Amino acid sequence: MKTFKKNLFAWFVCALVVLSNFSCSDDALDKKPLDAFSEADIWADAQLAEGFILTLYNNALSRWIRQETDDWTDNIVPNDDNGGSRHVQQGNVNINEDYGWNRFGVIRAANLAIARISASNSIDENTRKKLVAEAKALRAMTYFWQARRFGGLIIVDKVLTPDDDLELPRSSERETYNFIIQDLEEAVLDLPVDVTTGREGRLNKGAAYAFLTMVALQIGDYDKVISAANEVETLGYSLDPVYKNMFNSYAGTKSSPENILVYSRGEDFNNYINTRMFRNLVNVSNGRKLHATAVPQFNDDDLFEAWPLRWPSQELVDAYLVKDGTERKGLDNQGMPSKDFYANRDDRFEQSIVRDSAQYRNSIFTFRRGGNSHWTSNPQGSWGMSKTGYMFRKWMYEEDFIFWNLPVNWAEPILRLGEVYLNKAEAYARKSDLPNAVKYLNMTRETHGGLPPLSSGVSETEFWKYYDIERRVELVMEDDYYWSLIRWARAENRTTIPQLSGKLHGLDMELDGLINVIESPWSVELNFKPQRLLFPVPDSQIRTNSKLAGAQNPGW
Amino acid sequence: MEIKFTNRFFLLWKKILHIIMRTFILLFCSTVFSFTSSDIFSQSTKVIIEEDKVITIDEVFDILRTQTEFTFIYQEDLFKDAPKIHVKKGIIKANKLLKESLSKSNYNFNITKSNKIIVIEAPKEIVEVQQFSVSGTITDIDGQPLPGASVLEKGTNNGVQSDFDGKFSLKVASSDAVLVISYIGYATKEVVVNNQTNIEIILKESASELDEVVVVGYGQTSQKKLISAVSQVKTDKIEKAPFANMVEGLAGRAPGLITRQSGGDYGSIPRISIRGGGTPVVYIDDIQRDIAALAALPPGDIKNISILKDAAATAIYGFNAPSGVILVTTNTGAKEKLTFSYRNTFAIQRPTTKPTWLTAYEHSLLLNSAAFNDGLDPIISDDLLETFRTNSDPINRPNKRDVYDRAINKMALLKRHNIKLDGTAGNTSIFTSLDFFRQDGLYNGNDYGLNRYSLRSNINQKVDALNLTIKSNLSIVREEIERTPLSSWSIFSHVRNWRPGVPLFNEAGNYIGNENPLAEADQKAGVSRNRSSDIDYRLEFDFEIPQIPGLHLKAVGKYGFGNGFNKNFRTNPSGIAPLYTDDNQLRDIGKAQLSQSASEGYNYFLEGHITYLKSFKKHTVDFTGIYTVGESFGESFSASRRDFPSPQVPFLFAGSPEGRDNSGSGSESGRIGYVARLKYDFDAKYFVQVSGRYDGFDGFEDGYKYNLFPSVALGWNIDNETFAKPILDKLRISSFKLRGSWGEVGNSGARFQYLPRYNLNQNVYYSYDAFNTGFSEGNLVPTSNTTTWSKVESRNLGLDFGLFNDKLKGNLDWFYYETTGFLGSPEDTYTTTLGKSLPQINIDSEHRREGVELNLQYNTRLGNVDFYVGGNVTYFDQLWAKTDEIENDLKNPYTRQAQQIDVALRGYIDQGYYQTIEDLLNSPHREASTDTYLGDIRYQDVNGDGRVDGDDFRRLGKGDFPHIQYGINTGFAYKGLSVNVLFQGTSNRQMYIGGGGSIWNDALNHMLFTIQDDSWSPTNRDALFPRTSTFNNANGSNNQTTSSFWLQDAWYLRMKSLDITYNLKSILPKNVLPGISQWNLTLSGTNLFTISPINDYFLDPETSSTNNYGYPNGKTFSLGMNLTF
Repeated sequence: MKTFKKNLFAWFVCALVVLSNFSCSDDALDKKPLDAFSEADIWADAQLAEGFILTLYNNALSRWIRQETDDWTDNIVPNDDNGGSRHVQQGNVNINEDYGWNRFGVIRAANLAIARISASNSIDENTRKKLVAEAKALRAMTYFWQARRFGGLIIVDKVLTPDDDLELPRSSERETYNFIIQDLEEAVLDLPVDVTTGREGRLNKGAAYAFLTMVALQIGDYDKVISAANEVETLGYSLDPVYKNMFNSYAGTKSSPENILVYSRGEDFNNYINTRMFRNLVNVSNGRKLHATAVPQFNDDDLFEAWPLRWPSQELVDAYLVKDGTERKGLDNQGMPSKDFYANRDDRFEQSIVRDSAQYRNSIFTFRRGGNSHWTSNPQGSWGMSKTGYMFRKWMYEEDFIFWNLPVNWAEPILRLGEVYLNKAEAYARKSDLPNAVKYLNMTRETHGGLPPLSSGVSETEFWKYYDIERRVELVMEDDYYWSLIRWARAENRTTIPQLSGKLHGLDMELDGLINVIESPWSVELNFKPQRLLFPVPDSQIRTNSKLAGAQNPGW
Repeated sequence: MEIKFTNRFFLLWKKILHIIMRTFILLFCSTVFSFTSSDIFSQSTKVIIEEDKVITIDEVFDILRTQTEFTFIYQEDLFKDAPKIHVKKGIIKANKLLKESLSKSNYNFNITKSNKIIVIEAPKEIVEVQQFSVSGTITDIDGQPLPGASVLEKGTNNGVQSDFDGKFSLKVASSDAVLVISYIGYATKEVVVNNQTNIEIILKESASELDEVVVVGYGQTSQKKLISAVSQVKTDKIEKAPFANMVEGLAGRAPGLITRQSGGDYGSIPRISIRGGGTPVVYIDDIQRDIAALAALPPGDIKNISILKDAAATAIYGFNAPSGVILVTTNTGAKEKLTFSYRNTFAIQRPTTKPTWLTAYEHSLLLNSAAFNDGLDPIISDDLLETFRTNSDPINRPNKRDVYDRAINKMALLKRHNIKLDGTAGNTSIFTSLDFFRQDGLYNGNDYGLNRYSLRSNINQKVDALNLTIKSNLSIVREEIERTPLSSWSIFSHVRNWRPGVPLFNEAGNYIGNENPLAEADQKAGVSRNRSSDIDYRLEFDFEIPQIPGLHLKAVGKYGFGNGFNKNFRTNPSGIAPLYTDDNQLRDIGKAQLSQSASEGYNYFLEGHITYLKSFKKHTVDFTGIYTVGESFGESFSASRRDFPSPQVPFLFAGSPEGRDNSGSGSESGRIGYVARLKYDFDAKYFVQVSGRYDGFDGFEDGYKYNLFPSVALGWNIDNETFAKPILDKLRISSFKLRGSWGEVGNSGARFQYLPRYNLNQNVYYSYDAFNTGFSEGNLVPTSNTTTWSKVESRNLGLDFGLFNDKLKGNLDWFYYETTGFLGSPEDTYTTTLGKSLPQINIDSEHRREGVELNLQYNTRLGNVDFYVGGNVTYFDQLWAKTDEIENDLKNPYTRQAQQIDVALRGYIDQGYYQTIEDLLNSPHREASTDTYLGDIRYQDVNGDGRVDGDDFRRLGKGDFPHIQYGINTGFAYKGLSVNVLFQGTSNRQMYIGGGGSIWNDALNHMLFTIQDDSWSPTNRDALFPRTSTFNNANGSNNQTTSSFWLQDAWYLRMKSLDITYNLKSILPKNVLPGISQWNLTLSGTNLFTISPINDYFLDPETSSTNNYGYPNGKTFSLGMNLTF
C-alpha cells in the first residue's frame, strides 16, 4: 500500500513534468491560415494565374455592365422611386461624392498581373503573353471608364508599395488616353482571334479593336478609329439581321454574329433582380392590381411582378423614324390615332418598345386611360405602372416569368459591330468625309432599322441630325447616349446640351387612343450645367493629395 | 491506544514518534490545564472553506492545519462519537471554527512551543435530570431544513443535532428552558421553550459572521479580501423567471453589466458588455466558451457568476480579456445527502408592443391626399373607397388589416423541465442535471422553435489516502432550432409592409399574392433547421502536497468537440407555401431547393497549476502559478442542389444534378499562457496583489507572439483599524474598504497579417458555361514585421462599504480604460493610389473609456418578513483621444473623431417644418431639395454660410447601445411565500428611426401605422411626420436625409422580471407527502411592462429593427413548480 502511494505520487510528478515539457516548445502557436494561398503559388501556376485574371475580369467589367447611364438622358423618365437617376437628371452632382474616381484597386490588380506573369519562369510563353495582354486590356477598360467621366487621371503603371511616394499627380487627358491606347495596341498583338472567345466573356483581338474605336473616338484620334474599325471588319463579325436577337434571349445574345464581347452569368448564381430586365417591366396583373373595367384584361397567365425603375420617354419614341426616313413626332401629331402614329416605323421600334395596343407576352398592353397599363389603371397606385405610356421590350426575355429571386441565365453585349460602324461613321464625319460617314451610318440603319439609306449627298447638318437619331435608336439602353451627347458637345465646343434640358414628355391618351403628349408629371426638370462635361474629382481626394491641388475639373 | 498524526509526512517515523507522543500525552493529561479554544489563534487568523460540506472534527483540524501553522495532537478515536460539523462555504475565523466544532463536547487544549496543539477530553460533568420534552424543526428562511444544526439547552451541556429534515427532539430541565440554536454560517438564536412541545425555528444567514466567497479567475477569495473589481450574480432568482436565455436573465443584475436585447427571436442572444466594452469572454468552469454557451446554460446548473472587470481581475486572462470576463461556476454536490429535484416552467409569450394599423379606407384617404399634394390624380377611386368604407367585399377588398394578428400565435409556449440529482455520498459529491428547454416561435403558421437538451455531470471524488481530489465536469448540449426558410426579418418586414385592403387568401382560403407573410411562415414553405452538439469534458487532479501544508499541485485537462448541421429547405426558391391565383389555380413558382452545411471541430487545453495559501501569524500569502496550452481545429463544408422534382424528399440526392454546388473551409488556432498571481495581506488589513500573464498568440510573427500583461492591486480594510473603529461605529459603518488597481490586458486583432496571402474567390467569373474560380491579392504585409499586441490599460478605484451591521452594503467603482496601439491600416497618410489598404500595424491611436458604477443592497427583517431592496447603476462614456484619421477630417472640429465622446450620428439639426411661405423663401435649402414645399423638414444652416450642406452636419444624440443602465431589485419572503421583482432601464439613449424604409417614409406603401396618419398639412401643423407625397424620394430626399428629426428618445424602464413563489409544504400538514422536502409553486413573468417614449412608434426599445421589421420582443407569463425529494 505504501509503495502504491509513493508510486502514484511519482506518477503525478511525472505527469507534471510531461506537461511542463509542452511549455518548452511553441508548437501550439505554430499555426497558419488554412484557407489562403501563398503569393508564390499563384504566379508559378498558369491555372492559378489565370484565376487571378478572372477575378480581374469580374472587377473590371462590373463597371461596364448595367451602367444605366441612359437614365441620365432624355431617353428615360425614371420611375418615382428611382431617386438616383432623377438626381443626375436634375443636375444634383457635387464635389463631395465619388463618381468613380477610386479604381486603383483594379488598376493595382492589373499591374500586379502584368508584372508577376511577365516575370514568371514556370508559365509557358504563349499563356504568359495572352494573360498579360488581357490584363493590359482590362487596365485600359478600367481607365477609359474613368477617363470619360473625369478626363485626365492619375496613371499608375506599376505595383506600388507603401514605401513609394503615393501622392501622384493627374496626367493630362491626352496623356491618359495615350496610355489607354498604348495598352490596347500592345494587348491586341497577343490576344486570340477566335470570335467565340469574346462571346464567352474573354477578350480577343476583335474586342480590343472595337474598344479602341470607342477610346480613340472619345479623344478625337479619328484615324485610329477608322483603322481599328477596319481591323474589326476583317475578323468575321457581321450585323445581326434581326436586331432584337442580340438582347432578347440568352442564347441569342451569346450566338449573335454581331456581338464581339459578351458578359454573361449562369443561373446558378444569377437571379432576375441582377438583370436589366427586372427594372423595365410593369408590376401589374388581373385582379386587385387592375380595375375590373380595364380594357382589355391581361391574359390570365401573365403576372408581371417586376420592380420597374425606368420608362421610355416620348423623346425617345420620336427618334424612331418612319419607314420613308422622315420624322413623326408626338407633339406635332397631337390627336392622331395612335395606331397610325406608330405605323410604319423603324423596325427597331417594335423590337425595343412596347407601345399602346402592342402585344407583350400573351397580353395586349393598352396605355390609355381605361386601358390595362395606364398609371390610373391600378387601384393600388401608380408605382408599378408605366409613367410615359411606353415600356421597354429591349433586354426583356419576353417568355420568362420575371420574379426577383428566380434564377436566370443572362447575357449582355458590351461591344458589338453595330457600335463599331457608328464609331467609324462619326470619325469619318469629323474628318468631313461625309460619303464614308453616311456609308457606315447606313449599316445599322438599313440592316436593323429597315430604313432607306441616307443619301450620301446629305449636308453636314443633316448628317449629324440623322446620326444622332441613329445612334440613339441603335444603342438605346446600351449606356451609350449620355457619353455621345457629352462627346459631341466637347467636340463641337458647346457647353449646352439641349437633350439634357427641360421636362420630358409622355403619353396620356384617353380611351379613344388619340395621341395626347403631355409633360410627364413624373419628369424632373433636366438641368445640364456646363461643368458637367466632366464629373468632379471628389473633393476629399484633392484635399488629401497635395499633387492634386488646383487639379479639379473646370467649373467645380 | 494509538496516536494519529495528521501530518502524514512522518509516517516512516511513526513508531519512534509513538513513544515520544505517548509520553507527552501522559504528561499533559495529568496536568489540569484548560484553554478555551478562542484563545488559540490570533483574532485575525482565518481559514477558507471552499464549499458547503459536512465534515468530521478530524477534518476540521486538517483544514486548520493546512491553512495555519498549527498542528494538532490528539488521541485517534477522541472524536469518534463527536457529531459531524456542517460548514458553509466562505471565510471564517479560525477561532470560531474551532470553537463551534468543539462546542458539543468539552475538551482541553495545550499549545507547545512548536505550535502543536494537544487536545484531550475533559472529565464529564454531571448532567441534570431532564423533565420536559421538546421537539422542533430548524429551517432557513426559504424553508429549507438545516440538518446538523446544534440545539443546546442554555447553561448546560445538554444538546442534540437536528436530523436531515432539520428535526430534533430534546429533553430539557424545565418547560421554561432556553434553547440555543446554532449553525455555522447562521446567526445563533435563543428560543424560550415556554411550554411549547413543538417549536419551528428559522435561522437567518449571518452576513457579518460569514464572509462570502468570491470566485475569481483560477481561484477564489472572500468579499472582505477582494481587492479587484468583481461582481457576483446570484442565479437563484433568474431560475424562477422564464427567461429565454441566461444572458437575458443577467440584465440589470450586476453593476457594470450592460445588455441590449436584439429583438425577441428564439435563439437570438442579447448584446452584453462589461462597462461599455466589447463582448466579454465567458469561462464556464475554467473552460473558455462564448456568449452563446452562456446563453444556453440552464440557470439551475449555475452556482455562481462572477463578472471580472478590471485588469487586477482579468490580466491573468491576457489577450482574451480586453472586454472583461464572465466567469461561471457550475454546481457541485452541495447537499449532505443525495436529493432529487424536479423543476418545470410553462410560459406564454406575447409581443411587448402591438402596433395599430390603418384600415384600407383610412389608408386610401391618405394615398389620395398625398396624390393631391403632388398634383396627381387620386390614386384610389371613389368606388373602391366606398367598398373599403362599407367593407362590402371582405374577401377581395377587406377593410381591416389583420395580417399581424393572423401571423402571431397568441399561445406560443416556452417551457422547461429540469431534473437534478445533488448531494454527497462519502467522499463523492455529485451534481447532475438534465434540462430540456423549448421555445416556440411566435408564428401561427408553423410549430417551429428551439429545443435544447443539456446534460451536466459534475463529480468530485476525494481520495483521502492520496491527498488527492479528482474533479470531473462533463457537459453535453444539444440544440435544435427550426425556423422558416426565410429569415424572420424578411417575414416581419412583409407583415409590416402588407398593404391594407389586399387579402391574404382567395375565396377558397388558399394563399394569394407575393411575399405573403402568412404563406412564408407556413410550414409548407420549407424549413431551416440548425442542429448543433457540444461536448466538453474537463478533468482535474488536485494534489495537496502533505509535506508543505497549503501547497497544491493541479493538473487540468479539457477536451471538447462539437458539430453543427444546418439545412435550408425551400419548397420553391421564394421559400413560400404554395400560392394560388384569385380563382384558385395553383401557381408555378419554381421547384424545391436545398442547401446545407456541416461543421466539425475540436479543441483541448492542458494546464498545470501550483497554488499555495498559507497564513503565518498575521501574514497571509496566496500564490497561484499556471501554465496553459491549448489548440483547436475546425472544418466545414456546404452543399446545395435545386430543382427537386418534388418537395417530398428534402435530402440532397433528390435534387437535380444541374446546379449542384459545394464548398468548404478549415481553420486552426493555438495559444500558450504563463499565469502568475501573488497576493499578500497583513492582518486582513492591508492587501497587495501582483498578477499577470505572459501570453502567446499564434497570429503574429515569431518574436512578436508573446507579451506580458501585468497588474497590481492594493486594498485597505479601514474597518479593521483600531483607530478608525470608534469613528466608523459612530457613523454605524460596519465595513469599509478602499481598493485600487492598475493593469494591462491585450487585444490581439487579426491573425496572420504578416503572411503574404492570396484569397480564393469562388464562382467569380462566368465563362464557357461555368462559374470559374479566381484569385485575388490579400492584405499587404508590413515591411518590417513588428506588428504585435494592442494594449488595454485599466485603472480602477473602488470603495466597498457596509452600514447598520452590513444590512446595507454597497460598492462604488470608478473605472478607466485606455487602449493604445490598435491594429489597423494607417489612414493619416494618402494611400488612394496604392490600390490597397496599408498593412495592418500598431497604429498611433488611443481610445479611452471611463465611468462609474454603484451598487447598493439593503437586507432586513421586519417581524417575520425578510425584505430586500437594492439597485445598481452603470455609466460610461468613451472617446478617441488620438486617432489615425485623414488630416482633413482631423482639422475640422465637426468631423474629426478625435476627442469626441460617443454620439448617435452626425446629421443636420432640424428646425421643425417649413410652416410659412416666408420660411420657404428665407431659409437656406439643401442643394438637392429643389421641390421644397410647406411641411418639409427645415434644417439649420449652422455655419451661416447661406447653404445647408455637409458642413452643417453636427454630432447628435447618444447611441442605441446604452451608456447608462440601471437595475432595481426588491422582494420579500414571508414564511413559505417569496416575491422578487427586477426593474431594468436605461437613460440618455436615442434611436434613429428615419431613413428609407423606416417607420415613416414618404413612399406610400410604407404608410400603414395609425400614427402615420399624423402627417403635416395646413390644418395639422405640429404633425408627427412631414407632408406626404407619392414620390419615394420627394424633394431630393429632403425629409429622409440624416437629421435630428428622426433621432428619438429611447430611454426605458421595464419590469424585467417578477416571481411569486409559494412553498406548499409550509401549509401542508407534516405527514402529507412526507418524502417531499419542498414543493414550490412559482408565478412569474419577464418584460411585464415597459415605459419608453419610443413605444409611441410601436417600437420596443430593444427591437432588432427600427423599421419594425424585426421579430417582436417578447414578454412572458409563466407558472412553474419545483419539487425536491
